[in-house]
Amino acid sequence: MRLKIGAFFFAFLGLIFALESRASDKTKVFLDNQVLEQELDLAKAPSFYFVLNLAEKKLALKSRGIILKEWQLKRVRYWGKPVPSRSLAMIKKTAPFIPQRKSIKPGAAEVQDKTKEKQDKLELEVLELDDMPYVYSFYLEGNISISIRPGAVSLPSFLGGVAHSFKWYFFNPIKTLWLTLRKKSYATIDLSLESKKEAQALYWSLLEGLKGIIIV
Amino acid sequence: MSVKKVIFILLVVLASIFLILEMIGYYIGLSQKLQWKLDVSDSNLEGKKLNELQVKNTLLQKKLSTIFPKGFYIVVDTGNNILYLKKGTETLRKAVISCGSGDILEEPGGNRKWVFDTPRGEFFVKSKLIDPDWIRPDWAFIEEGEEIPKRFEDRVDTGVLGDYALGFGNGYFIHGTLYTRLLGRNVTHGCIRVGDEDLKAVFRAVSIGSKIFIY
Repeated sequence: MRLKIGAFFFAFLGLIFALESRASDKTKVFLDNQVLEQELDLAKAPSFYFVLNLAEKKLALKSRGIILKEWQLKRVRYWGKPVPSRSLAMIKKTAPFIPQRKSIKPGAAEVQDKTKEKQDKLELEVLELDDMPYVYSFYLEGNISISIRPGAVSLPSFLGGVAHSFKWYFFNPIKTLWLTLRKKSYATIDLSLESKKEAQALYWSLLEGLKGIIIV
Repeated sequence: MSVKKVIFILLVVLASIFLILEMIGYYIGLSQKLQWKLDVSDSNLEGKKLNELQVKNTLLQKKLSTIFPKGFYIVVDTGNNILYLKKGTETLRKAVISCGSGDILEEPGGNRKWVFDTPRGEFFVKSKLIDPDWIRPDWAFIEEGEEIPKRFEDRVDTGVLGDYALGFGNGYFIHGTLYTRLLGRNVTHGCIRVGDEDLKAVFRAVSIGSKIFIY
């Protein structure tokens, strides 16, 4: 009798687990389909788009369904109202120091002559990846902001990170309360990249007006 | 009550108010955060069977794959100055290149202004040229402080674009270079300079209509 009850109990547990896993499979496929539908819409157009996957800690720049470049994210955190499950356009990107273009003086020597060789490195008056900021923010429609930082690369950036975390934990709750009272929604996402160079490359590659999907 | 005590009580009250507001905000924030992963309600899934969803998933993936570029295509990373020759998801060649400098040139006393960026976006190979000549545009003369010639022949410059050139519109080309030591740097006026061997391989692989993705 005891054996029968035991067998029945385990069979019942097994059934519950099977149903649960089937339900989670269903949710997973349903969400996957949602993302694929959104991506299909974006991929049809001859413009680039981004796919930010918070769960897999990846950010990809894509076109026509192919990955042009992918960034591995070191850390991801988010706060505020859930992001809508539709494509979102990047309205603007801001940085404390925006790189300035250099002006060419007409009649000056040719580029190759303008270069000075200093310690085997050519110094050129051009706008390059190294000139790009590595701490910056993207603003998406729907009051969504994405802050980008590299992992601590130096003491100032470490201190900057500490200040940013302070802002994250103290300012965000107050902002949430304030906006909830005003019946406004907002979401903020914090991304930390592997290196300074990766953060600069991301700034370079994602242009204002770009559309994208955020997967949670 | 002394002034010090009043200030102290005031500070405690203010700090308490701040902490209470902070806690309320934190509570709202956390409850909102939980919704990020729970946005699939049962009503969304009601009546949907797993195998139906899986069939739809396969169909969507198939649809997406029909949009993928066919045959060889080029991907250009203007920030890192790298060109990739690709087919499907496979990278067949990786070349160090030179892209636009991002510099600005203004015509003295004129209204014209040029920004020397490599254009970004999706393009395709519009022309394939062997032993191309460079038809110097106005900015090339202005930059050098020279007078803009009236005769077309005075604009033709031979041997500076290398052995091959792939045109992708608006006067932009993927071409060779004499300045190989500048490969890997952003120095061009918008064109994409490639080393001889890489250029040859890319030129041979792609055909008119092949996609070029520049980011």
